[in-house]
Amino acid sequence: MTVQGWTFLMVGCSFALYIGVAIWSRASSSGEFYVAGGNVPPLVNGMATAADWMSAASFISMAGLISFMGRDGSVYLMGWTGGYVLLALLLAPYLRKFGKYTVPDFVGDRYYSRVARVVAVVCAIFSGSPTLLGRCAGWESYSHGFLTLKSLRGYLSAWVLCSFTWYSAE
Amino acid sequence: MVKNDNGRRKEYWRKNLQYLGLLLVVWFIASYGCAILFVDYLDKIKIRGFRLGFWFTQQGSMYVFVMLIFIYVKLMNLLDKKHDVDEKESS
Repeated sequence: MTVQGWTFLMVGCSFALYIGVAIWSRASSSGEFYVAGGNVPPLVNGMATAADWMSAASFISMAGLISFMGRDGSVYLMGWTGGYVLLALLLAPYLRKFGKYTVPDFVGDRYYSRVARVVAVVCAIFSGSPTLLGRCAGWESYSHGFLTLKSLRGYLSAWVLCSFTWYSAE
Repeated sequence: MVKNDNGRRKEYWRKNLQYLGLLLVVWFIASYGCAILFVDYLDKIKIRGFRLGFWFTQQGSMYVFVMLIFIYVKLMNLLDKKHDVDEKESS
């Protein structure tokens, strides 16, 4: 088999695995989706968060920013990693004490308002889109280079993958 | 959870904000200060061939971040225990 064939095989297998897991482990409640019903020990949970950080957005987009902008690009590292401190100090403990998993849930309950909740959802999507774009761009350049997909197709396949997360959450 | 009178709650929150303020000042100095504002000044110092400002942006501040989170968890767990609002260990 050629290198190209092996690449397709491995990527296909990991796709199948991911989609399989998404179908097999559909969460039945939000508690199950966000914290796996609370059955995951803190260390493993931390490892999962770390693995989430080590995404295409970090490895390709961040590295690309720094290589193109030189040292000025490294200020993005501050936001990228320093944000975790803000998250851990200002947001996570209070959500946890409140017994919710997401900011929109908290806002909706705290202010007894569906409108406030929707606004919070829009804000969350807006602030989450840079990293999602970074990830999709990372996958796009990967699929362009290694799978010889056209750019747009690579981009679309990234969204197909994303939609399976949504499926397993539903 | 044990019933708390208002004074103790205020005390707890005040302490909470104190910890937050202290840790965030360190966070600001390490990330914005050392890595961006004073980077040129720190770059004059070289440790084993590496410029200190550069080291802070690429590595040093991350060490500080991780340490801050650990310290915060430690402090808050102690505070929670003192005010009896900690999460009881469930087997």
